Amino acid sequence: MSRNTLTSRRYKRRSPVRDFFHRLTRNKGACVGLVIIGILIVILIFSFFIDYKDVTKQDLSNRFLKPSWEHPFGTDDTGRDLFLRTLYGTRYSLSIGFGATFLAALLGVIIGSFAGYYGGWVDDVIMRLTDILASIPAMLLGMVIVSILGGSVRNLIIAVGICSVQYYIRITRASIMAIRGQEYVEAAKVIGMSDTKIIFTQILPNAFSPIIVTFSATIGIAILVSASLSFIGLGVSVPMPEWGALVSSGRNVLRTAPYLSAFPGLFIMITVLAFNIIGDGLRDALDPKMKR
Amino acid sequence: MQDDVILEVRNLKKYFKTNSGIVHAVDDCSFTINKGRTLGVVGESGCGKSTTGRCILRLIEPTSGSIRFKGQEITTMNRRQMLKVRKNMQIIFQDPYYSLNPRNTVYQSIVAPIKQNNLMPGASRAQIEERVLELMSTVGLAERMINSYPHELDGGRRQRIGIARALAMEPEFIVCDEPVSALDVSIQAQILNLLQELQEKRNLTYMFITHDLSVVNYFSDDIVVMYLGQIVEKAPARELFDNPLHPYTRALLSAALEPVAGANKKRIQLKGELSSPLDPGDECRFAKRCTHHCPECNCGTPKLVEVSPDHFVACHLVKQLT
Ligand SMILES: Nc1ncnc2c1ncn2[C@@H]1O[C@H](COP(=O)(O)OP(=O)(O)O)[C@@H](O)[C@H]1O
Ligand code: SF4
Ligand SMILES: [Mg+2]
Repeated sequence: MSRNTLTSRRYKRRSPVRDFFHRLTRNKGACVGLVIIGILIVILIFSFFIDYKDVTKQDLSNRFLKPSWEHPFGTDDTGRDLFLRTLYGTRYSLSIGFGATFLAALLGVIIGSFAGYYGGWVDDVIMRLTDILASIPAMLLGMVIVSILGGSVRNLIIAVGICSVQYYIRITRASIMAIRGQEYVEAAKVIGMSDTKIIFTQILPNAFSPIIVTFSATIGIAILVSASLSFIGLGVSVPMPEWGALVSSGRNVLRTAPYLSAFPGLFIMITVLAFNIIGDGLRDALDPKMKR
Repeated sequence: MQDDVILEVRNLKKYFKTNSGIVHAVDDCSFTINKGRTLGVVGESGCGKSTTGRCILRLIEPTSGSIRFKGQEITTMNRRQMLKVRKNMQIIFQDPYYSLNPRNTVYQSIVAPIKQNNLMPGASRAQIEERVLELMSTVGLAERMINSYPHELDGGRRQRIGIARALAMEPEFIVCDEPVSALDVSIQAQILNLLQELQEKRNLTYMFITHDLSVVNYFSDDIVVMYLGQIVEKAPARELFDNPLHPYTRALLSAALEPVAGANKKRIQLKGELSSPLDPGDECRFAKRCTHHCPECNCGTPKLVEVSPDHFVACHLVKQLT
């Protein structure tokens, strides 16, 4: 018996989650990205304490003020404080980014799994449709959908989500197809595992990491597309201080007051960048083959 | 006891429908394996060896034919019956890198069959761990590797995990699908020794698949030579090496043997490409590459005939060859 108690200490369950966080936090880029997103979330929470009246308050005697302590990002053509407006706009970019990406992931993973599992004509039909979807530039597709549905946060989520769906269909299908043919799936069959158990314990966990990586990367794309749509006036309705809309409203005075476009533009850029470098970090961290 | 047949395969066929035609991956193959013996299955890559092995385990469904394992017909079994039989038949895969789930540690890989089949009902965690450690030591894996992931180990050790996983089920019959082909030559011998040792200790029966005749020579009792889905020669190992009859077997052997100084035996070269068993015609499939080829070879697929006791050859010119 003493031997048994000894051996039971020999097998240490290596927690895949802990291994994952260990690898992620060792990646400097991913840490920077995480810090930026953390700051954005703080800003987001903080922005709920901003009074919407302050955001829209016009002060015609203080138009086009340069950045100062009082107005860190300056004021716009009607004297509204750009700092408050930009902070307030965080909610639009983040909710459209996350919302559209969730939508795309949900649809794409389901559709892609069908294509990957069943193959044959199901796969053919799905992939031809995906090809068609992918051949239309995201901006154009977004413009068409928003002009049909009308501009609102919800419709922007739908439009931008549909633009990203193709990535999830492809990545899910590809990883499920690759894993389905792997010998370890056969090996699981030989030891008597049922198909459902194989799918959940052998195939999906191994198909998951490319999907998560795609998730992070497409949030960036979604934020960019939604900002671009707002920039050309097709996004959320005008008074809302969405970042893309802010960049857009500053473009007429780009020469005299460049800060009006620059600050919200900087927010877009940094946010997109942060999600992308987190995506890279995730790809490495989710791969158990990476050195711990 | 030696003549105790454990596996009997009759007229096994597996056709794959593809866009370019029907692939006759396994075409009318028959053989038997006796308990405690090893049947070597040899042939170039793509000749249907793996497909045969997978059909026997019903990892893929045979197109037609009969497979009897310990007297029971398994091709008509339902899922539940098949699960029971599979406890007795296992497979060791060619590439231990792909046959192990990259997310599972050594412990998780080896414990999976035990937990899945409830092989140790009521056992404590410590007892199960003890069993895993015992299996690890059987296949020569050090205890300290219990928490390692496959990618942290070399090919030989990974293959040992695959063997331990198969042994956990206590099978009587194991299909070894090129178990050493993906390994360094220096490690091949270790794994082959291990397999042989296990066979002696546990009276295991092997179907040993390989494209390398020198490997099969190592411990096969009988050898089946396959070419494009068909068996072209079948004989006891010694007989096959001493007296190969089929032109393809001769070519394989002369390619495998080391050239000996002063030997006046000419090496026969295998010329031409291996075609694929895609919609084959009714002719000898080896005809395009055969040095003995003559017009009658194109008339009908040659049948396996017994030229001497237990020695079968499928060639139209078999009388001239003997
Ligand atoms: N799932 C499949 N679909 C179509 N063709 C297949 C499939 N599996 C194997 N084949 C074909 O069957 C033939 C035999 O393959 P295989 O049994 O893997 O050969 P070996 O193991 O001897 O190298 C090959 O021509 C291969 O291309
Ligand atoms: S039947 Fe003819 S072509 Fe085929 S192996 Fe024999 S001699 Fe060669
Ligand atoms: Mg093979």
